[in-house]
Amino acid sequence: MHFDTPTQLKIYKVSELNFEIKFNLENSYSDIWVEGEISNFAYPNKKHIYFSLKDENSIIKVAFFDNSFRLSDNFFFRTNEIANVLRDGLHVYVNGYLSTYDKRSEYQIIARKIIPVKEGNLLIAFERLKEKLSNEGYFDEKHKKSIPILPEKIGLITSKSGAVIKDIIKILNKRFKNFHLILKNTPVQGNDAPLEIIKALDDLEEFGVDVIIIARGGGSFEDLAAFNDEELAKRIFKCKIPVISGVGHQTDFTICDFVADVRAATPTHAAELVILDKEEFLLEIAKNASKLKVLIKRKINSLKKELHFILQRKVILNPKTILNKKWQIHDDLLMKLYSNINAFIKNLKSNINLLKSKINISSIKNKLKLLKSSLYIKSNFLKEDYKNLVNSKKGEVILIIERLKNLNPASLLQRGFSIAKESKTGKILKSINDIEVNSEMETTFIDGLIYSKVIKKFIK
Amino acid sequence: MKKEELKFEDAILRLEEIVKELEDENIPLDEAMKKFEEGIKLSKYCVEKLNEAEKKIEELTRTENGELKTTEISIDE
Repeated sequence: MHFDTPTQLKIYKVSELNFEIKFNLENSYSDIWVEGEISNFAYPNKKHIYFSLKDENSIIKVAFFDNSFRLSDNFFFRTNEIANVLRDGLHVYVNGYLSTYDKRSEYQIIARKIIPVKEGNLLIAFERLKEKLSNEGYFDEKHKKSIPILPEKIGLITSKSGAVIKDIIKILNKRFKNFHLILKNTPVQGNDAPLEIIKALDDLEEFGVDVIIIARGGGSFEDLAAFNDEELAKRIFKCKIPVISGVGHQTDFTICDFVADVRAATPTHAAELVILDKEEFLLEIAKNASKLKVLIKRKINSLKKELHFILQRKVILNPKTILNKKWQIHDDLLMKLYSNINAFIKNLKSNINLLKSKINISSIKNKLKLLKSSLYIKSNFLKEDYKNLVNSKKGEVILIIERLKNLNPASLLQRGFSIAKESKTGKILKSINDIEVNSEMETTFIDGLIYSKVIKKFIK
Repeated sequence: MKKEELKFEDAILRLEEIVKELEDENIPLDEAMKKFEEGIKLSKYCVEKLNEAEKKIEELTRTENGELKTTEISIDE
């Protein structure tokens, strides 16, 4: 038999064809959501999940691989978490892409997310609200208020009966023993919860607290639905007091978390965020205070050193300072001297005072009086003596005057003597040699003069 | 919170700032002394603030007249 080979037609290899189908499918159905009921659920090796998704008329295979492919959302991100929930007959939404298993010529959905429809509807609503509020700017960083580190009053919105309040108080006790908590007891689940929480915010705002914690323990997505309420989100946004949201577990996210000023992973975490650790701060303050002391000491010491250095340098740089220094030494010495003198005088004074105190002043006074009177008597005696002396001396003086009177040449003349002089010179003649022969001479007598001429001289 | 009072966080921040300023060796002595005194005052103030309050757990409710009131409660840990 012979077949004509259609040379104009494209001939695929099987693998080539399967590859192209795979490529086209993956591109055309890269991100789809499918709704259906689970059947033939299998979880071999506790690793990958396989099941069929069916409706009344049709069926498609689904594979859910445990790899890093899955982007974590607030739903399951590990296969073991999903496996706990999924079972035959469960109505689910599956998100993923279409691909082929070319060894068996089958196509299947490679799932990224699997959500039970009941919760799925909530999630879809959640995603829509989140997107809407986000677009309206409710989650913008610029609106976030900062939390005071030392709130005087902490507002807490939660159920009074739950474990959450106990956990929070436990943490507060550990961090800051003297905390002041204002509790607003509200339901944290059910249809009334959002409105009650809104009212609680009103009350706390009116009462006046420094920070508000909205807290609730972990639960299913449905349990946390109250915290995905649009009105509550808007009320939190409007709240003038900073709000910390501590709802559910680490992996749970609510609208409340996004709109709050701070999102705490858990209620306990919220208690850790709401107030500082007192001991830690006391330590920090003490550290800073002692640092201040060290720094100021260091400052003073360095200044001392600097001053010392400058003093030494100045002398070298400026001769005037040498002079000044000398002057200063001089002044110092002077001052020392003064102070020594002053000390000396002081010492003296004190010695005198000491002596004064030792001496009996009145006895000295008496002695002085005695001395004075004896002196007086003595002086009187002296006066008498003096008078007598003067009188006797007077007599003596008169006698001497008489004698002196006799020495007067005139008195000599009276007693018969005469005085001879040379006429020309007036020289008194004491010897015959005092005058020459033939010279004229003048002789004075008591009653007149005789002029004569020397005729002859005889030497005796 | 009383507005006229120095806020605790401001005091803490200022204290840290002063420590940093004092670390600068070029700061004149009289200024350093002033800062030192301010810092010591701040640290005392902060410690006082931390010890000021008394532990209290109160529940906030509304009376029948709609007035807010607080009642002290005890919660077993």
